[in-house]
Amino acid sequence: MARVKIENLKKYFGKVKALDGIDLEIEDGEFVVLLGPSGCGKTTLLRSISGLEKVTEGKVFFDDQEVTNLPPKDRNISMVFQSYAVWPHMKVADNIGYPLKIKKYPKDEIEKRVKWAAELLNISELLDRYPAQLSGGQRQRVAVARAIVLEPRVLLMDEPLSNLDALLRVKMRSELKKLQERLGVTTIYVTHDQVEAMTMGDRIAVMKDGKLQQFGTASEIYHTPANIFVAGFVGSPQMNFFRMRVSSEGTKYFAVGFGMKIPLKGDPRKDQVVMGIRPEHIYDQASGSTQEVEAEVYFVEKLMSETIVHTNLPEGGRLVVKIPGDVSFQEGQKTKFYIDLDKVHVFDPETEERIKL
Amino acid sequence: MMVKKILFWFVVFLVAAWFLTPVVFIFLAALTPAQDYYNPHKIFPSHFTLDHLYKLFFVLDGWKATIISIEVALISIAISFAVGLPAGYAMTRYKFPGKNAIRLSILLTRSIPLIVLAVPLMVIYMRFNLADSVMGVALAHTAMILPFVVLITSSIFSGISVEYEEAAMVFGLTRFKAFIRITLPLALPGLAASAIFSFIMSWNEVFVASVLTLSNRTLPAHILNTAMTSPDYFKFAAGMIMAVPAMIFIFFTKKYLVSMWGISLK
Amino acid sequence: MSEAKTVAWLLILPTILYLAFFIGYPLFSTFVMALSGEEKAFDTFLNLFHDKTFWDALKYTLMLAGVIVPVQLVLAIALALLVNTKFKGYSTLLYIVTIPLALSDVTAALMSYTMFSPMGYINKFLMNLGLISRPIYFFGFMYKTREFWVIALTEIWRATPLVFVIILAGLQSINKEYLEAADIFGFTKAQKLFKIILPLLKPSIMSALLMRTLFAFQIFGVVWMLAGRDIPVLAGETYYQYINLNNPKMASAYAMIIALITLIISYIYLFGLRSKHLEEGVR
Ligand SMILES: Nc1ncnc2c1ncn2[C@@H]1O[C@H](COP(=O)(O)OP(=O)(O)OP(=O)(O)O)[C@@H](O)[C@H]1O
Ligand SMILES: [Mg+2]
Repeated sequence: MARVKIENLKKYFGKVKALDGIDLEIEDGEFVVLLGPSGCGKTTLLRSISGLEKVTEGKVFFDDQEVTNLPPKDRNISMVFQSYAVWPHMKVADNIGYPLKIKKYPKDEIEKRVKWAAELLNISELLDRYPAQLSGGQRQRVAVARAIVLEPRVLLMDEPLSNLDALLRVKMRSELKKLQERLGVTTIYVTHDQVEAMTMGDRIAVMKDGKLQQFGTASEIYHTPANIFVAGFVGSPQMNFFRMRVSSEGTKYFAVGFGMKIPLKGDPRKDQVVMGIRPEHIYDQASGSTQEVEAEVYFVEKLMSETIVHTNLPEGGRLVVKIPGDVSFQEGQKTKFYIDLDKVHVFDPETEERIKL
Repeated sequence: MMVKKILFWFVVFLVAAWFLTPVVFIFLAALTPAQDYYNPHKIFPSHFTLDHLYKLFFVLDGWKATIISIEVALISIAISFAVGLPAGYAMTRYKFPGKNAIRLSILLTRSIPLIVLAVPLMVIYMRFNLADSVMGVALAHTAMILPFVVLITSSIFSGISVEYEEAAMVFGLTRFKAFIRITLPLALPGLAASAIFSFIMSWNEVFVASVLTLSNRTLPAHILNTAMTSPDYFKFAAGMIMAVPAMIFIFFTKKYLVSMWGISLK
Repeated sequence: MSEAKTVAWLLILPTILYLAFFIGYPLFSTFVMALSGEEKAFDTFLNLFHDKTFWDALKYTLMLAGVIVPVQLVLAIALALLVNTKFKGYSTLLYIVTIPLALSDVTAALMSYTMFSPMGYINKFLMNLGLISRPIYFFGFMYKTREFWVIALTEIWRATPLVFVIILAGLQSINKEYLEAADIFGFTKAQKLFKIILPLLKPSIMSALLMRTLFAFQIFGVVWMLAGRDIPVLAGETYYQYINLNNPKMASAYAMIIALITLIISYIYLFGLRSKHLEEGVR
């Protein structure tokens, strides 16, 4: 088990900057999720930490030992590959046991651990099969089992649950999380599924275009997103954004536009701001400190457990509102919604960074 | 519908006949006694004889040439795989400047007629005492087989995901060991098929072998120079001897034949 | 240079050295040999160009290539389409078709000789059927045209399978959904062939063509065995000059011409082709 420290990591593939200066410090035993859109460099970062990819610039430390130039075999790591990389010429049992065999564990110990891992991942009946005889999801579980049989200093997982059905995924999520807590192994986990990220990660690192956007707990990412990208990427449906004018009345500041006048908590020191509000933070009734806004319904998604209302605002604005429960709205109906002022986010329109008020 | 079906099978039959007839007839001719062969009214012999094959092998020293042929083929395969396999691996697994130029040059070496090389090679061989030796022919055949081995192994390796190797490296093997334990076993069937094909290439090559040797001739070279001055039925016996092993070998590689070309088209 | 690049070069170096020594150097010394001598540098070539046999050899080589290559291509495509229907027993047919792939040109020539020699099976059949009373001669200086066609036929028989295998591989790599989509949109069989299959097959066709054209210019074995120098070809003259006349200079000049033509053809093909469409060859 180890702390992992990454300093100004860069990895260029010719002109493509897959990683463009990543700094990250991961605590011993922590479960960190790498979250980001496809092609943002998650796999590349994982491969750089594993040593499979020679980095262009920067350093990687495990505890206080620099491992930047250490070959993968000397790093004492474990990895689940995005494409599983389950060896086709070995039976499932041999696949899972192979890392132990390389490390020269005694036979009975190998057998014991293989059995344990197979049970955990629900693949005990498959031990005698070859990978070609497995489904994608089963192969993926073999890959996970292979990665957890030995206790590595760092466990790297690249979308290990992407190919499982919804039910199994939910179950595996909690199993993996519990297992990680019990083993206490430092884990870096790649996903682009936000639910997975939110529920599993002690901390989440959000990436875009090879750059780290924000590194924090699920609550920090959700409640105080560092920039427009993070705010928009996390949460579903996406946060509403409006580019608004700033007006002041004495010491009070307001964001004005689209038929709304939103009081701000302080001086943004800008003529314009981007105001952000999540659909779930707009209600159909006034409560606490809310701001009324009138909107015209044009499309309704009924999910029964919740209702998602797409509306038009004046000046061509669009507002999406999420109301719990099965509520009925008419298309074309004019109705009032209430924006929760405590949940309003303000961003700088130029830098797209969050403005602290 | 029926007519269509009959027509289809007729075409299939025609194709099979077109490719098989010459093979069948050379076998027939090789097993026909001399007097029957020269009798214009006897298409099918009154009995079969192994006489021509026997004489070719034991009176005309065919067995010695066969052994030399096998030696040459095995040495060439050994050298070209020892030299070519690492190159094929590097061509798929590494990126480096000049890779395409190298691939292209290796490809173009295949377009140079071997006869062109045989002449100057003989001059070199004289100097190094390799003239008229098994090793000399093997080295020349290696030059013919090596480009094929590099390109084919490279396409075989590119059909095996790097990540299998990388997974092994993550779990504690060096790159070399990961190659030996993971990639090599996965590549083995394809490699065996290409080795067999290399064998056929060497086994069939005759002109370089005849230029480079006098007394240590490979089977085809030996046949070219003895059977050609013998009666026709000896020639056919020779043809049969050369055809049979190659046909057996290709039977074993037939599963990989198409995919070998298919993979390499990527 | 980075570590990985060094490793890559070290892995490739033996191959490069080997090919440089066994192909590059002989090629170079061929060049030198053809151009060197007491007389003027290009005298060998001047002699060559004044020799009628050279022009004959060039003519016959070109004629053979012109007949063989197109016929092989059409036959191979038809065969590949037939085998690719995967009818019951197709793998047996596949094996039968690929048999010539395992045979050398010498063996192929011998097989052809069994059929076409004066005592060969064609003559025997015809005589037994009473259609002819004396054997038809296919070989000999008097019957150059017949020899030419027998050679062309033999080469077509021998080397079509190579083209076939490449085309079949290409055919099998075509995504079935393209054809299914065509079915849905109501393409006729002919439209499917000309609008979908053949265009998608173009890379395979091009690489097969390149290889066959190159090898067609090296044609030798079959010609030498069946017709000797009745029908001179470039590679045959190389062999004849070196072995029979013991004239390495002239042999080298012929060799140079072959290498040059080969390079020019490769260049023409490659010009319209990306290198990934290229294919390695087996004779
Ligand atoms: N070997 C390579 N050569 C060139 N470019 C590469 C290579 N590997 C990755 N890239 C590029 O680097 C960027 C990051 O790729 P990476 O695989 O890390 O993305 P990712 O975040 O894992 O995406 P996904 O979620 O789709 O798996 C992409 O633009 C990709 O095209
Ligand atoms: Mg990835």
